[in-house]
Amino acid sequence: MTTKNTLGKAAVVVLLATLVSACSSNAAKEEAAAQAATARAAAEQAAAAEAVAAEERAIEKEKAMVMQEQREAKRRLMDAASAAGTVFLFDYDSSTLSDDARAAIDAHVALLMSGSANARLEGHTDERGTREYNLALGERRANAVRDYMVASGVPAYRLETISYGEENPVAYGSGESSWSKNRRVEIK
Amino acid sequence: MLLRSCVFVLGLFLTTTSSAQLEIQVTRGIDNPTSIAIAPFAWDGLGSAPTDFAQIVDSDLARSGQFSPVSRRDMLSLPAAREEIFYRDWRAISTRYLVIGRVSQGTQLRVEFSLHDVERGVELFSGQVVSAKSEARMAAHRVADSIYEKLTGIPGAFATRLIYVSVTRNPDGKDFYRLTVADADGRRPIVLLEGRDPILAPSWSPDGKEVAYVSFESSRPAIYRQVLATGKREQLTNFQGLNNSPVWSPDGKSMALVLSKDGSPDIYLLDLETKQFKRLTRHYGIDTEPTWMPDGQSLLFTSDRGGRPQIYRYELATGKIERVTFEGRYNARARVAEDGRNVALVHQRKGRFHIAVFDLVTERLTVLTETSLDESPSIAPNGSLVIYATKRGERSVLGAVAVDGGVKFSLPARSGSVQEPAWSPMLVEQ
Amino acid sequence: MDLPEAEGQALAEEVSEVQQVAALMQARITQNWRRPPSARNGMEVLLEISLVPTGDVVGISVSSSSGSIAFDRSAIAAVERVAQFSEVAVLPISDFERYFRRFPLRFKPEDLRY
Repeated sequence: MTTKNTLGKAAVVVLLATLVSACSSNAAKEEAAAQAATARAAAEQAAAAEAVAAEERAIEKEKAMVMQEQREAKRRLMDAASAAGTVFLFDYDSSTLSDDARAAIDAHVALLMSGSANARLEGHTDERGTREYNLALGERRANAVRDYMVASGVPAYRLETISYGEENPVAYGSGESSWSKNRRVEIK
Repeated sequence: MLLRSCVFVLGLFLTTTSSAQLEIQVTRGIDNPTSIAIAPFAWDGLGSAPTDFAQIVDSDLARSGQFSPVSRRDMLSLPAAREEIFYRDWRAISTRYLVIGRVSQGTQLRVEFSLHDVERGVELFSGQVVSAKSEARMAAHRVADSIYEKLTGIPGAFATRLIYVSVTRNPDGKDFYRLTVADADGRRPIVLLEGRDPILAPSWSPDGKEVAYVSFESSRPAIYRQVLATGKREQLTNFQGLNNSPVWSPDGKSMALVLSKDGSPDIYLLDLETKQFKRLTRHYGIDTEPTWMPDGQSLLFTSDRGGRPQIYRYELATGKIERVTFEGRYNARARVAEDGRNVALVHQRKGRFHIAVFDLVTERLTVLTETSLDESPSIAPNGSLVIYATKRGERSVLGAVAVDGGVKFSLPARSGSVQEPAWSPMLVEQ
Repeated sequence: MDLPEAEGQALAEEVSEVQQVAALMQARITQNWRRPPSARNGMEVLLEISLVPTGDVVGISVSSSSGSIAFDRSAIAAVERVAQFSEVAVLPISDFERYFRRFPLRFKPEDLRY
């Protein structure tokens, strides 16, 4: 009774060894798999982050483009308003807006509507007539511009009107060439 | 025959009443200035006299247009006391009246003077003016007032003051404003307020101690009152829109002014005690430039409610408004004389702006000036002269014209522009 | 001459002398009447003047005002300037009493610019 047991033991050893090697190769496999998974996850994360970053960059780029467009648009509006001038002229004894004045005011309306700034409208007259009546006439002109701007959509609280009557002429001589320059509303 | 021719001549200037009483009719008077000599006043004080009193009286009477003073060079003697007067010296140079005077100084100045009728060789009147030493010029003006009243019947307005706005243009192109008060002859200007912001519409309180005006110093027009002696100021309004044209009522208790806070410029009344505002006019047109009638019962104001500026009258008791001026397309900025009858205003004719006088009784309008950019008339408190501003070249200067268009002169022009004159009331002696 | 004619003649002479005196007085007042700038043609003031036989003015009052204080006062000033109408002294006392002891004086300019 001896040979049978040794075979059995060897078989067990072989079996154990196989098991061990199988386990260890499994562990290694698992480890490798885990490592691979981690690496994959990291890679995915990195990719995701990269994607987000790329998206953010794209959004930023888009925002910047939009802002750039807006700035350019605003610049165009400012240029338009600047080209239209800040002075609107009037006929003698009149506070009616001419077509030219209206077109010029439109440019300023567009500019104001694009932002939240306030504006000050200063009314003036030429020197003829009495000073105190002219103060009222200057106000009438400033109000005419204000009313038109409000009707065009500018909120009234953003517009301040003031009259200087004949007190602040831009041209000091007597005669229509000076007077016509003084009959005005200025926007500031 | 004789009787008939007598009756004919009689009819020229006499009328007979039923009881055969004769009435003498005077239909003409004198227009030529009356010759008057004002001999240099003697000075009894220490050092040199504070001013040339006789010269001031001379200039005042000359400026009235009704007197032509004798030049000092032509005087044959220079009396300063009654016993020194030789009437033949004055008849020799054909002067009608003679004024002599003597000034002494104690704690105050005392100016004694007398007025003499050269033709009849008698003294008509003597008087005395007492004043502070610093007010020598005003004392002389009061002597002139006295002489003027004795010879014309109406009080003189020489011892009065003017307030006006003086504007100078600085090299940087910005205007500089000075609210200035001066004697009625333009002398002794004193700056009450100055700055880069416009000052408008100065006016006097009835007691001559305060002024009111509009200032843009807060970057918006607001009305202020200021005591002359102390410079103490009070802001009276701070509304949105126009704050303009402050004018004291004759009793000094309220002020009419213009506000546009309720939509369009309207006349308001401010009770100076309660500080309450009362709205007087309600119209979507421009109502502005109020001025008081001397009885304080109504206001005249400018309104374009009829299309173009005209003068209207507002009756305070009833609120009734009626139009006053109908001639011409533009009548504005009325100022009423103390007689309540003559109204100085700005009248446009053929595109030119003149000073005119409107008679409230006859409703006749008379243009007084020939210049074309006239504004801001103000009447002397004795109703004789109208002072106003007129454009000369690129500047504004002050002119004066008699209410009948008789005498005209302009005030010495300083550098810069002078505008918006307001003549003080008769001043109470200091 | 019958009585009416004689009376007429006397009346004529009396009126003539009175008329001359009145003319002198009118001229003197005219030379002393300085009108205020606010005076206008058509304004009218009626004064009552009281004299004594030497011609000295002892009383001036306004019977009917022009409505303008300045105008009224200028008229009063004119009379005050004359002060003495010495021409009445030549008249018989009865004429003085009848015509010049107290008489109306009307100022109504026609020569003013406006």
